[in-house]
Amino acid sequence: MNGNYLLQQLINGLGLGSVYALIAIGYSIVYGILRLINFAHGDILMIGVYAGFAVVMVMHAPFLLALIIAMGVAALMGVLLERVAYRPLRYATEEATMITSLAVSIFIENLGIMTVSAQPKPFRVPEYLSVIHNWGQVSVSNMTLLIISLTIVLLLVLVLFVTRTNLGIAMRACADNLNAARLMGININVVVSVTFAIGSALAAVGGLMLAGQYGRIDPLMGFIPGLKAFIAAVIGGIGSIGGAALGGFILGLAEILLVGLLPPAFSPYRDAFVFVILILVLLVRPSGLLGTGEGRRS
Amino acid sequence: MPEAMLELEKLNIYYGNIHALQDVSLTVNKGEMVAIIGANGAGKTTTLAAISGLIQSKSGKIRFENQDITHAPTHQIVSSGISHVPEGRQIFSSLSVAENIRLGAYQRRDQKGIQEDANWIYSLFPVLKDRRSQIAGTLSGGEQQMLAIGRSVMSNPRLLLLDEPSMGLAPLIVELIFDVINQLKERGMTILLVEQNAYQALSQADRAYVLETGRIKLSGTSSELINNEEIQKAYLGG
Amino acid sequence: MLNQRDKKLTLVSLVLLALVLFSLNQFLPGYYLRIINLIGINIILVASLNLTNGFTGVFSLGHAGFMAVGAYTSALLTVPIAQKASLLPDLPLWLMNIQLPFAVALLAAGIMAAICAVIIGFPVLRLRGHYLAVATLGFLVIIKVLLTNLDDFTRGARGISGLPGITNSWWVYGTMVITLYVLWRFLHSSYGRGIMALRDDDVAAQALGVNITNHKLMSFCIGAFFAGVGGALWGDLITVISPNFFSFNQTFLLVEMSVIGGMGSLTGAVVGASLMTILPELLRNLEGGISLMGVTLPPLYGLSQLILAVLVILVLIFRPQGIMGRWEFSWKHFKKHNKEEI
Repeated sequence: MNGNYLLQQLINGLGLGSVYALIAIGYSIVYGILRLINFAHGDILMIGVYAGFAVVMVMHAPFLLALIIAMGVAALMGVLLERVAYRPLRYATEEATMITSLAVSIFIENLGIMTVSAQPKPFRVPEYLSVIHNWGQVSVSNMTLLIISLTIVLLLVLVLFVTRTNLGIAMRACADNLNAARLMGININVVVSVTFAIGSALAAVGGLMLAGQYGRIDPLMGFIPGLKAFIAAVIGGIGSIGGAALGGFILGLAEILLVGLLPPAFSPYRDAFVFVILILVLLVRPSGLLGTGEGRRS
Repeated sequence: MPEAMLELEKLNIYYGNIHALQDVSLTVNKGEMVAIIGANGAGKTTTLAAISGLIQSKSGKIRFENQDITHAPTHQIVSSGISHVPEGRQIFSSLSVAENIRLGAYQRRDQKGIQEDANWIYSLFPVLKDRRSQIAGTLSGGEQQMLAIGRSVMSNPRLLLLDEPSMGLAPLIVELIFDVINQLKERGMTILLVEQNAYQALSQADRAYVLETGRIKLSGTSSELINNEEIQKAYLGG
Repeated sequence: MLNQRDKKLTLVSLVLLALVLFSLNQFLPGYYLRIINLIGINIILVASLNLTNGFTGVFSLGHAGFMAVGAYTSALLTVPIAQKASLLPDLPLWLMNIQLPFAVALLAAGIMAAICAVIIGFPVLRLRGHYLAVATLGFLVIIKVLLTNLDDFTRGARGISGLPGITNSWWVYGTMVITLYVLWRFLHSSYGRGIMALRDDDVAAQALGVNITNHKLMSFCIGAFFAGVGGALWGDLITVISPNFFSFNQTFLLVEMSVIGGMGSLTGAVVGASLMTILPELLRNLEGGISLMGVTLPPLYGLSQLILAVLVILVLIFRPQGIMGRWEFSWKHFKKHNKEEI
């Protein structure tokens, strides 16, 4: 194993990590305010990706437009979902909301299977994204560069939003103390909707990148990445934006490095590895790396 | 003729099967400071929470400046001009002092006015000014109470609800806080104060209500109540 | 404990059940008989799920994983040796040359599942709420990955076929009666009361001396045991097993049955499992496309799942305790007023 190989794995890991980071943020910010794990998060991003797919493959529009449409559709779906399925259960037991969120996930997946068929559809990104740069023995595609830089930009924008704008600060306030936020005259329903919208939009970006990477889309594509992103959020500390991003990058790197450095016989176990990491983290430090502490009995 | 600002009319509130407030009626007139005193669990906090919309009542009415706010959502009640400083400070502990203050003015749009009011709060509580960028969770109990009050005042309310501002604080701090509360009253703010420390409450307020297991037992001016033998025995250690 | 009257009534109903099953086996065509057997198996699975999730408050999403362990254990012990040799040439000899009676295999299936439960339970049961749920989901994924990749033992994704198909109504319902009886006895023992105390308020229960870990672990293991048995029966019924059958979807189907029937009630398990086994079958007919008053609906794969999911959400919003709530069937409800009272 030489330095070049390691560098290659690092870059690939950053790419995958970016995707996980974007999706993980959605889980984190929703959990921060509602203490709800939106298991349907991965499926919402799938809807956004299909919208983007329609734009690119069917209408042959530029990729940038696909990105915007995917984000918009996902945001809308996220808000709709919250309004219809989660808001009526806002004061229900943790168990009930969890089951509902799982049921919604199944609903969306089957809706997808019913309407667009379970068959994967090919997804081709524009030529300029497939261009590969070679620096010595390390190769990076434009796609990877795009996803990493896009993630960094979006993260910065998000941080600015939650520290400089009224609405953003209100989001943080809601995550901190929901009742006190009410007393400030903050309309919780609006903040929750915005939170869902932002989380879903970011996830759609991640999903689109994944679709481009794998070259195909299918109605179940959001499930495993969604689950892994959730694990990333837990690792970083659920409820924290920084934690979600950090967790995402760590998980992406860990997954790629595990696959890249261990003998090939272990590759099919990569999904299992990720869950083992999750269980370890939950046992050792359930509040995650940057989290505020919850989830374990004292 | 005193102008009624806040009227509670036969309010009934249940927590599950527990009848927490029973036919509670009270009035707060403009410019007054009215206190609600009573033992722990009497329903004082529940009363304030009902006014600010945090909990819903089963029956009865709440009127503010002649408008029915009984079932209004909290954010609407805040924009009507009521601000509630909750029990136990309830500041945003992961946000900075400045951000907490800013959030108090969440519904306002007049940047200049907001800045002026913030400066005024900092003049009332200089220690907050020193700690502007500090994370609110690291403040002492007294400082957090000052922050909580300052934050609520930022919305420019006409009626301020204060829930046990002296709880758990040293006498010196309590004095400081009540000094500020008086300044607020002088500025024209109407105040409804809930206090377990009956003596403190009665020495500051104009009128008071005594709440006992969810019912209004007595009401009157502060001097009437201070001189009432029953009250002295039950709440003033007399 | 049951009194004389209750014992008699129970015996009578068991005899009735046997008679019903007998007639069904004689007269019902294969497809419908299979559904009847499936109902029995699902009752076992959902009742065991209710024990863990509803009664103990341990929200586990890994039930299908225990099913898988049970199914594969039983398969490896009951598939005829010749078949095993051709499908799984690399099995260790002691496993290759063994073919055990079905009852023993079922027991082994349950025990293996229970062992897994102990292994996972120790670390994971310390968690609560969503974290616990996701950790158990993780177990499910890990099991699936293991089953798919340990080719020598499991034939990977291709699965194992040629299971003897011994399962019939008697096996299913016999096991079901035993399962319900064991669960019932457990819940009415002091352990069981401790568990229900845990569910309602674990801090108070602890103060009263209930050892949380022990109780949760015991409940988790018993639930897993019967999930393993149920899985074994199921695998044998359909004579083929593959890792894909034991997916998250499978677990969730059981959760749906549990929720709709009522998570905190064994009667609920029976009701939920029965209804929710029949309903998807009915709906599946819709998936193939039907003609309604001259309008032909196109095939809608996934419709049955979708409707179930919506049903669950509606139940959670409008009647979260399920059909039965915490109500348990009891002969008491049939008491005649004039006779016993003095």
